[in-house]
Amino acid sequence: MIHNYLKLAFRNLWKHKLFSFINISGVAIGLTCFFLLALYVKDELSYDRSHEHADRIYRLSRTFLSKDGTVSLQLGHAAPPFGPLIKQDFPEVEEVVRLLETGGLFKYKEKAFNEENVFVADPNIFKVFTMNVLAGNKNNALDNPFSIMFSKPMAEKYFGSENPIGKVLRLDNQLTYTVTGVFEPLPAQSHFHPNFLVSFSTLNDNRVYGAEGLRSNWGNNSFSTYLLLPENYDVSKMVKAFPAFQNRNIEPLASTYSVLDLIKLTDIHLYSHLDSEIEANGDIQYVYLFSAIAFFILVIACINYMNLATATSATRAKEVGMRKVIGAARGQLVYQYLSESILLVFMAVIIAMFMVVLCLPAFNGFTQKELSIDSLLDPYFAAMIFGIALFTGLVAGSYPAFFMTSFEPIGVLKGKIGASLKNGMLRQTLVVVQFAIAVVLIISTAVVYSQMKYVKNFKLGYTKDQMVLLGMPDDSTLHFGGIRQRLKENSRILEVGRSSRIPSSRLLDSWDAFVMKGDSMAPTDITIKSLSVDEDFIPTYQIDMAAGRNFSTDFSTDKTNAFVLNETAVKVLGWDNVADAVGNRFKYGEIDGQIIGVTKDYHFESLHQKVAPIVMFNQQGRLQRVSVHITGDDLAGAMAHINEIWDEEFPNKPFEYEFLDQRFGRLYATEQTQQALFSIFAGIAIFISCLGLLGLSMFMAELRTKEIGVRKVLGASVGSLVSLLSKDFLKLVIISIIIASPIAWYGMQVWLEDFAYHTEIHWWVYPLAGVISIGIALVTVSYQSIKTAMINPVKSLRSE
Amino acid sequence: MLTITNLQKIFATEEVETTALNGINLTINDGEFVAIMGPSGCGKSTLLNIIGLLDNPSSGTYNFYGSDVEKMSERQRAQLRKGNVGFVFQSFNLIDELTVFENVELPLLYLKVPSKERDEKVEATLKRMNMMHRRNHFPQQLSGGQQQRVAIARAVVAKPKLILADEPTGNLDSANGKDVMNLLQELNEEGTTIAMVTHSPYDASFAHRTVNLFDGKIVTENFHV
Ligand SMILES: Nc1ncnc2c1ncn2[C@@H]1O[C@H](COP(=O)(O)OP(=O)(O)OP(=O)(O)O)[C@@H](O)[C@H]1O
Ligand SMILES: [Mg+2]
Repeated sequence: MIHNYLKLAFRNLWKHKLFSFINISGVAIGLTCFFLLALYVKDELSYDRSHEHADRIYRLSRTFLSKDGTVSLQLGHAAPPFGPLIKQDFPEVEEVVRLLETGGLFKYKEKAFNEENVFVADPNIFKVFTMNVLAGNKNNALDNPFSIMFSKPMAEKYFGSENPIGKVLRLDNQLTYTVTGVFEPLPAQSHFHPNFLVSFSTLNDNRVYGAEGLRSNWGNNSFSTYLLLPENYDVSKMVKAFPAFQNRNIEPLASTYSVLDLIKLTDIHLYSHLDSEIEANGDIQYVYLFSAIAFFILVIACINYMNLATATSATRAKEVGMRKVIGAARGQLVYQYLSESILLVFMAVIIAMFMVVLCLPAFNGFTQKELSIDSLLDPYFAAMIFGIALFTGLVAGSYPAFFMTSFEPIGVLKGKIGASLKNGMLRQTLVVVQFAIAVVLIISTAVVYSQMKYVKNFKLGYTKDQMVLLGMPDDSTLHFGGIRQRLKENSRILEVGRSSRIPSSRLLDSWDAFVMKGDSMAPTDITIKSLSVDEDFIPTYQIDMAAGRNFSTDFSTDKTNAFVLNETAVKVLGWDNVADAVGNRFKYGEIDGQIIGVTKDYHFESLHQKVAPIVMFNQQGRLQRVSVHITGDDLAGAMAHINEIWDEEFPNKPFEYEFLDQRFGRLYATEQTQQALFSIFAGIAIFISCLGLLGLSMFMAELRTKEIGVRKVLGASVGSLVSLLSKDFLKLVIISIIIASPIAWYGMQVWLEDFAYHTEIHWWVYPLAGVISIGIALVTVSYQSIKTAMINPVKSLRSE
Repeated sequence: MLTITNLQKIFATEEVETTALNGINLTINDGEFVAIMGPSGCGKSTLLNIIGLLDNPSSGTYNFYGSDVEKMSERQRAQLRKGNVGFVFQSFNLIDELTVFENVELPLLYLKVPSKERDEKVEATLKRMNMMHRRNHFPQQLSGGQQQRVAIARAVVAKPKLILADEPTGNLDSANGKDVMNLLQELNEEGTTIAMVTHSPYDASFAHRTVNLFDGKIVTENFHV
């Protein structure tokens, strides 16, 4: 019997070639998007799961509180003493491993590279993380000081085919390290990607860090600390014990300003967005968003199928009726139509698989991922695809199947079903749902786009273009005056300024601030972020002064006890008028001095953060970041000049630079790709909806060919016929817009709230979305309507 | 034997109620060939549909080979219909997407007849209808007379006790019409009960008895010898 059904299904597909094509391609495009997004989501969900003990590994995080109890800083890192002390105070913890990320100049023979992703690691790292050690002994490779392990690609980069073990290299021209092992890199789906592992005992050396610092430096929170806990361990109990643990080990009351917490390793990538992370993480929001889009696209494709299949059922009504007269039970017919839709969906799956294979390289390039077809073939995933296909086929086929088989046989044979088809409540609902989804996506895309434009054109309050960023070796800060002089000799160099951090990065340091209260200095509860700058920083970035003056070499005290605040800082400190702040005494940490000026607010951090109160002061030794503002007319010449001076001043350091606007772009890069991805898939969803509408309108026109013919004979104009044919669809589209607008408004409001600075949802997006969707619908529908209306009536009447 | 007593059929639409059949009493014996005649709209097709279990009467009783069917659900009627009743329509109602062979095979498929037996029966029937050479054609490739022969083949292939024909010659020229009537007569001579709606006195002359309907009532019955 099934053989019989399939044969008939194929003949039907062939008979309605155009509809079949529209139908199959709609479903295939929908499934292609679904599979791509599924791969993406699966990839995002698979982070850090390759470790054998993944579900028992937790990372320690540390939060600092301001005096008023608000969070001032949340770190995914902790101070070095925490690790061993946790092991000591919580003996049930199986392993504690600390990682310290560094980088530096690696030199082996004539090869020299600046390397990143160098991790100093406790020797038990391999007991916690599952990593494949290809050479060397994983039990002791990181025991001795100055031992280093290379990832396989790095070993090949430095040593080619030679055996790396025992090779000696120099780091930062100072210390020598011996290679003790080679490991296989962690998969892309990992929250950190070490290229090198250095033995932790190296840090005991005073030239590197010093044993005393490891024991007592509670302020250096740059150690990623991971705990391997026993099975079924109650993590919350441990977290509850942390305050007492800190008070015991750091100082009494330490828990009033420092909070420790644990996060599961496998949650880091999607849920952890702290002020310090090893790498930029993903976001569960986008996982939800993309899952939702994937689902919606599938829904739209299913609705297409349902609508077209139901519409074409008019031509098959006779078949259904006759089968019933002959003796088909309803169940058998339902079964027949379901097997037909499942067949079609499976054809679409095969096409979709090919399209996924074709699109994957572009998709990967776009998302910066390394998704592979292999995961499509992974048995679970394949089973899922099979399940989805079956499910889609069943869902998509169910309505036409039950609709068609519900016809009374005599009614059908008399040709009575045309009327019920035209007014099908459910069919209209489906079109409305489909278009409502499309309208939500159009509105969302418009809002996302205007937010991106808003970010791009946002007045940051400083210049970000033509800004070259350099990192100074620490020892250079003292003789920087000369370097600056030489740089400025070239007319292409406009200004050179130095600072402890550069715009677009986070401001993480803060000390206690004191202001005059009555006649004495009183501490404030306010967290003011510190930024060390020299007198050229503000002019280099063209930051406007709101009151007072910039630092100047004319005043010797400007280098030691002068402060420039930003407007926000002045406001939170209690001055209503920025000018009032100038000249006041101010104490920051141990520095007691005077406020000499106030800058206008500028957006040092990303637009996700509100402008923080900032205090700027000139602190020698922390000015490692150099910003060079160049003219835009001769980029190559300017860079050549900077390079030349660099090589002369620092012959042992490779010349490395970065442009601020590129850095800035990276700040929003994930967001931008994700938003672009969103727009693309939204576009595809709209396209599929239109495909469905096109098919449906073609069909309706065909159903009414005879009616149109009669009307024409009676004198109807083409215009009136087009409006007759298009009216019904337009009504549905308008209902969709009315339903979709509030939903889109709400969703976008929630999305925008994530930005500290965001655009408003302008009223005109709704009419715009309305006009776009009506326009699209009109173009799709009227093409067919006009074609039908133009047919010679004699022809359409004879077609019966 | 089919016994219809005091049967009424009322169609209720939004605006009007139409009494299509009004107090019909009719018995059709096994092996009989009955023609039903009457002006357009008098209820012939309605009666035939009820006889063929495609529709339920509004009131009255109908005994179909010993079972009272007037209160049966569509599902139960379908079950009873299967294999017992064959239909032939004026407009053939062949399924366009199926070949001649497949169309004829269909009732056997729904009766779950094994495939070998199915092939034999279909072939035998097609041979008998002189349509074997067209077995792989689609309905649209056949003339009207040929299509009706296929429709008859489909109606008889499962060897039903009863064949119902609604104006079987209505769309055919006289030669083809005569052909069809000869076939029906042959089937009747082999023992199949036939009820046929027709406008043609010539066709009716093949029947044993003609029932004349007028306005939903049986007005006269003529017996042919
Ligand atoms: N489904 C229906 N709904 C409403 N009225 C119906 C329906 N089917 C038939 N009728 C009405 O019942 C009456 C009898 O119809 P029927 O089809 O039985 O006539 P008929 O004798 O077969 O006519 P013809 O010779 O033209 O085929 C007619 O008045 C018709 O309008
Ligand atoms: Mg009739």
